[in-house]
Amino acid sequence: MSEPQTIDAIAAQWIRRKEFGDWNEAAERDFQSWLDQSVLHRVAYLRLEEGWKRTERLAALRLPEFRRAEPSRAPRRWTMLLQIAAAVVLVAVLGVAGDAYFLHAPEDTYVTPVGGREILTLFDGSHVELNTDTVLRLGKHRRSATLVKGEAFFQIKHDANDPFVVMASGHRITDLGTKFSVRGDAGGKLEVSLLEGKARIENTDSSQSRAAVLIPGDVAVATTETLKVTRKPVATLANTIGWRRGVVIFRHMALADAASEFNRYNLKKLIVDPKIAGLTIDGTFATDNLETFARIARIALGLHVESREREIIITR
Amino acid sequence: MVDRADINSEGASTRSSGARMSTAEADAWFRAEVLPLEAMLMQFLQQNWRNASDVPDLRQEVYARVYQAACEGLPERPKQYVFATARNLLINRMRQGQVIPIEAASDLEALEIAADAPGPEQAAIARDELRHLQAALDRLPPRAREVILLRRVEGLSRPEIATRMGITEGTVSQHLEHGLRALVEILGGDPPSVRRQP
Repeated sequence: MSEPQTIDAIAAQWIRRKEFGDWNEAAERDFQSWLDQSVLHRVAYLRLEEGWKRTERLAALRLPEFRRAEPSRAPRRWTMLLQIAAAVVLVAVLGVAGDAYFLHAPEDTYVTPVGGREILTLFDGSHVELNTDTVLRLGKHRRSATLVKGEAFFQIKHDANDPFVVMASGHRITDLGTKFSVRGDAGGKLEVSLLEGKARIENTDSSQSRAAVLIPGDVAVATTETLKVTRKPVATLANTIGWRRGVVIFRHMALADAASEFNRYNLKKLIVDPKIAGLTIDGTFATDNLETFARIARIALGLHVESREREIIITR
Repeated sequence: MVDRADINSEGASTRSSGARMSTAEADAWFRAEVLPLEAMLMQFLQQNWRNASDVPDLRQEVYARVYQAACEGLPERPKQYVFATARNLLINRMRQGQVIPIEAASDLEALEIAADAPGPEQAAIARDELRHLQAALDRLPPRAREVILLRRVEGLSRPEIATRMGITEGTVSQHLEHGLRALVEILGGDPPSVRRQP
């Protein structure tokens, strides 16, 4: 994304957060300081916000019959009940998350749900984009971050005197002027892809030290015992961050891997019979578009697709 | 930061010498006087700049310059001021480039004329606002459109929209954000007078 597009994406995010009541004092403060950072921020926000206000007119499309058909008081009470129910659920969720993450650093932990995505702007203009199901903690001085879970893309304003540091799965990644993506999986495997600039990765958790300097195209895969760096064309690497545009891109990807990629974004899960897990698939899909994926498996690969309430099962 | 050293005297002459505006005043002025010109401004930029993919960035740059100038005192003739700013920006970009795009150079004079030419009928746009909105919505990806309609027409909350569509709340947010950006782009870039269906 070019700089103005990033600004636009962030402006849309503020509007969405206000619209859905995802707002508090801290958000208001962050929002005001973002607006004050640059006139480009302010005009982008005003433009989208004005557009959003225009859509208010769509309320005119509400069917009058619908309103008349209801007893005059009933719909209001129903809405109130719904709001109360939603509020309780929200508190419960916050409560759980609060214990786990917010105890130590209340304002510095950022969480995205399954299917979610969030762009953070740091004070120096650096951007961090969080992918689905991710937890990231920002350090006190905003020049360090810990990826607790999930995946993040870092677009860092380089400062040689104060390099940005990312901690993840027992490794330290130090920016040497960079755009890079970091992904940790449940098994403790860590993947760092470098798109621009330079970064250093080193382990922090074992006595035997391993380190590598990454240049564009490098993909480092690290576990507690190993650190392996392979080189890919930068264009191929760009596919792995398709999520920044809301898509997953598969090039000759094994069906099982493609399915687990989809499953990161959706509550409804794809389950692939191990016998056909090795078949490969190509294509670009919206991260939530399971239907098209299933259709291609059925039509192009001739597989049997069974859709249930919470899962889609693919067999021969 | 936005550099506006290149706004020439002609641009400046349309400005009143009033006191510095408050942010709220500048915001309100920008919404009321500048944003409604977007369709005309896009037409102007598209006609006078070869590389179409630069146009949205150029537009935002024009907005930023106009807004910043307005903070010092509101221009008396907003439309003239916006187009003078746009023209100056284009001329500056051409000068900065190693090679002046041939199409752009031959249109340097047209730049002057276009700024004064009347744009699409603003009154007609206002009258047809709802139809215009619906036409723009029709061009959105189906799911982004559905999220916006469920929110604006049925007034559903995010969890309700998620349940109704069988997607996560995070995905609802994504559709709203992408849908809004695309919608504003369509509303600004394609006035109904320009792309009328056959």
